[in-house]
Amino acid sequence: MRDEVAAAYGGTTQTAHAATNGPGDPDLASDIAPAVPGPTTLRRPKFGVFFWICIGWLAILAFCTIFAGLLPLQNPNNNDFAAGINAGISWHHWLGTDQIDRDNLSRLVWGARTSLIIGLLGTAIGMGIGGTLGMLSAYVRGRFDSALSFSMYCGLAFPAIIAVIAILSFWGSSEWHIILVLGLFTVPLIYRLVRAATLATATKEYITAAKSQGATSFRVLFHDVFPNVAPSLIAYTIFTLGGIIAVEGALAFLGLSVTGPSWGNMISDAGNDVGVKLPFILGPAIALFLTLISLNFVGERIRVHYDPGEVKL
Amino acid sequence: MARYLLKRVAALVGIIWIISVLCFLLMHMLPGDPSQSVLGFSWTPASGRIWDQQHGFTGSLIHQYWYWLQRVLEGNLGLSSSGQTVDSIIGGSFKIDLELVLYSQILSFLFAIPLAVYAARRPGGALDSSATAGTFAFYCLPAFILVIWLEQLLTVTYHVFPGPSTTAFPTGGGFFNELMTNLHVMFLPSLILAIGTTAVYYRLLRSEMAQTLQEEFITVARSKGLSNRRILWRHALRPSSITLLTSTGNNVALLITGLFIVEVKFALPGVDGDLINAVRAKDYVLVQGIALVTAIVVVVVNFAIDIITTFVDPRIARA
Amino acid sequence: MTNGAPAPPSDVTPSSEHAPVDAPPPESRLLLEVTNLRTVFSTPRGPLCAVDGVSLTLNQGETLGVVGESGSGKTVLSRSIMGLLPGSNTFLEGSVRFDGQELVGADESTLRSIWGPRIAMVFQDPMTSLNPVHKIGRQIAETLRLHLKLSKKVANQSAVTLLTQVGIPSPALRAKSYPVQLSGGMRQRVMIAIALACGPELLLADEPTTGLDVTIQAQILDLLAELQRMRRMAMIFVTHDLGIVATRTDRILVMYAGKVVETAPTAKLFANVRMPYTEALLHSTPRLSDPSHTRLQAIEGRPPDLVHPPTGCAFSPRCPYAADRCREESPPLVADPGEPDHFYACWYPRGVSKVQLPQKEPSVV
Repeated sequence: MRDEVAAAYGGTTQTAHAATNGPGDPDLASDIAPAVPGPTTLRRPKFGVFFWICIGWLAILAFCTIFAGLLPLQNPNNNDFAAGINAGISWHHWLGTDQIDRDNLSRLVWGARTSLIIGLLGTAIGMGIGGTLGMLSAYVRGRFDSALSFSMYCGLAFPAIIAVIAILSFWGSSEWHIILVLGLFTVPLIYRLVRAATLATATKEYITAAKSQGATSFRVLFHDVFPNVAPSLIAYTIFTLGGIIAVEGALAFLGLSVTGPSWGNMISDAGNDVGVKLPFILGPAIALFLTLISLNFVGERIRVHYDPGEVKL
Repeated sequence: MARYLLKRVAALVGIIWIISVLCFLLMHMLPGDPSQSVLGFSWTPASGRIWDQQHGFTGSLIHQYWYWLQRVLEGNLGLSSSGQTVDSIIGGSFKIDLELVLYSQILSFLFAIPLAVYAARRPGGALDSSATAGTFAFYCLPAFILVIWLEQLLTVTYHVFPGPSTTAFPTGGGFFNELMTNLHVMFLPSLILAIGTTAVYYRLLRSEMAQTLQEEFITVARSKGLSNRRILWRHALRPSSITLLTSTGNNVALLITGLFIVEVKFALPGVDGDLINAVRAKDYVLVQGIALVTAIVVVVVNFAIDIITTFVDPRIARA
Repeated sequence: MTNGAPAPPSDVTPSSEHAPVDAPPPESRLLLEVTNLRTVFSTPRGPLCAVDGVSLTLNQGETLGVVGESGSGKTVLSRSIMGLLPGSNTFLEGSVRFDGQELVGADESTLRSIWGPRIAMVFQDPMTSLNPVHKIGRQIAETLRLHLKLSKKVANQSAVTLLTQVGIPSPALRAKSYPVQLSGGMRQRVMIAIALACGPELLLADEPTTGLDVTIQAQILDLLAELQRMRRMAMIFVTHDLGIVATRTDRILVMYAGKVVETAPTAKLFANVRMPYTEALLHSTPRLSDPSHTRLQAIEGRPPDLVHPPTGCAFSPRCPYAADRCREESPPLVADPGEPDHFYACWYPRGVSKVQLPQKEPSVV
């Protein structure tokens, strides 16, 4: 699944080189130049302009998701015969209509809502289960950890797409089914990532120090381990979100997604209609593209900002 | 060294076994009745039960599993609802997937490696920034969008490559001709598959290279009077490519998703295309067979990559 | 020249003592002449002058010891002389004449033709100096094939010979091994073999024994001395350990904050220490002759920030004898009136002026 790649993309190597496109490596000479005593500022890669643009786009998406019903839009499922199929931009339909006379703009907005809801809920499941198990596993270690890790490894080895496709086609592809299936299949990967991140923190000395001062395990978990792992968690959540949205798109393309308006559906419908003019695909395609870019970029920046050297897969 | 290998093989067997259980459970969890889909209109409760008995769908779950496992180990994956045996279907289609994966990965490496090597020389330079941004953009562009767009452009409008309407492998005309036609047909789908993995490879290799170039032994190599080119390609690339190798295994998942999209859109007779048709036809046995075979292949490939890594990096096994 | 070394003179007998050679042998010539070398790095905090106006000369067969703390610029000096610095943020000024050829400002290909056959470096950390994925033999043979144009077979044989020369047991077997299979001491010997493969005239040894066990250190140092004698190489030995250079060098250069603060022929340096920093270095080296439980005298304070160096003498903040003049004006490098080859940079050199310690106690760690 895409999120596996997103994680591999973002999480496999740890250097900040990869993410900061800024000026050449800071201290190439540092290995032979004398150590410079005196105040040195901890250099954290800045977020940058593009980062905030992406956040802006995501905010727009969130807005669409929450307020889709309230906006003065056409019903996305209504066929407006009067306008004609594949109509161009008109006052009535800001982005024209699709092959069966539905308003493109409202489908776009409602599609955003669909994609985002599926993404968020699926990620919630994945993060909730995978994240908790990962942290617990790394913290508790021992047999629990070994057994769980092995099972997760098997789950990871099993090609999830196949199972997803099989399940969805036999079981039906309502929104909830998709959320559940996609969410569950991200659990092994998230588990592995969170476990690695937690391990990196939990084995550090200050955790032992906290424990030695008599803090209970739970307290240490919440108070010391979690805050250090949290930035990675946020980054992984974002990557997973992107991954699920992308997979949903792919599923729609294969005809396995929800029947309502969704970007994947729009693209797939447009693609199948060979005579369609290119611009009609552009709407949802660009929207999807921008969303994925925003999510991946924001996630990467956050990850690098908080612990550029910590996590290795 | 031998002990290490033995341990890995044992783990492999264990995993394969668990996967077989998972596949089995998967199929049996699904709603619907296999006998119905196979017999179709001729299904009656009685004939359904007979069919069930014939094909091992009766008895307790464990009983069914053993029955199924035995037959699988014999090489019999069951009968698809189309009448053919599952193994013949898979066997015939597998070749296509193999080719697609091979071609696309070759393309991927061809693009990613030189880009990464030269980008790592000047981190932050023009090549680096543009390549990173470019690959990032392509990565975020889902395959199916690209497929639609490229297909429109190159097959319908400009007829550069054959679209899904032509048969995949017209035979005859000699070996060379066949090869050329093959490549011609496969190029576009392979390219699309390659794009996603290129981004990942580039990114990984570049950051590994940038790191390796900072190592002391590179300075030592310089002090030996070696040319920059030699250092880049002979000294820096090899240690850096180890991570690349391992990531190839992780990318299998990405590839499989891509395979689906590409095979469906280009109507290539590969395994994933078969799967789509199978699920549409509710062909349980075929779906199960495909799931099992794919899963095993994935696991074995990962295992092979692990072993290869051990040989390539002398630090791992001896340490 | 199948083993890459110039034929050793037949009358050289390896001596068992490490007696320093006081005067260079008659047939040696001026090999290296460094004049006013300055190396400046541009860092995010500002320009950093790591080497500030260093001059030295070296004859063929001579050994020069460069001593200083970390941060003194000694490593940068050795790399600047060779020209091995990463190009982008580095600026080199001054002159480095190797056998008459100017190295500062020379283009890469010229330098590359010199690196290996004429100048070579032995690096500090044997763990990271060898390419982990190449076999040992190959790493040695590589230079042989490149510079001496030997065929693969001959190069491999020569590599094995070199490994024997540096004292590695079962060299043929070792040549096929990877660095990870060797111990630290062995790796350093391999490093030396690589450096010597093409028979350089000048060897720069940059803290070659720092990462090693003490017993191995002695072996490596002896090996280097031996090989140097056999091949009549000049050597620049960079280290922070005065004890090492005491018996194995002809001349010593003491560096602090990028500048030369004292330089003299070895014996004379130890006999008449002039600069307080050198004195402090001497006192901070533990000696077997000291009674047990003698406290080590560390030098108070830390090396200066080279981006914003202090005014006056760079050592003044830490010098127990510092006077006002030291803090205001930077002392130039001058020759000792009685010994023309002993130079120092101090307003109140020890043994010459009568400045006593101020009232405060030198702190002892």
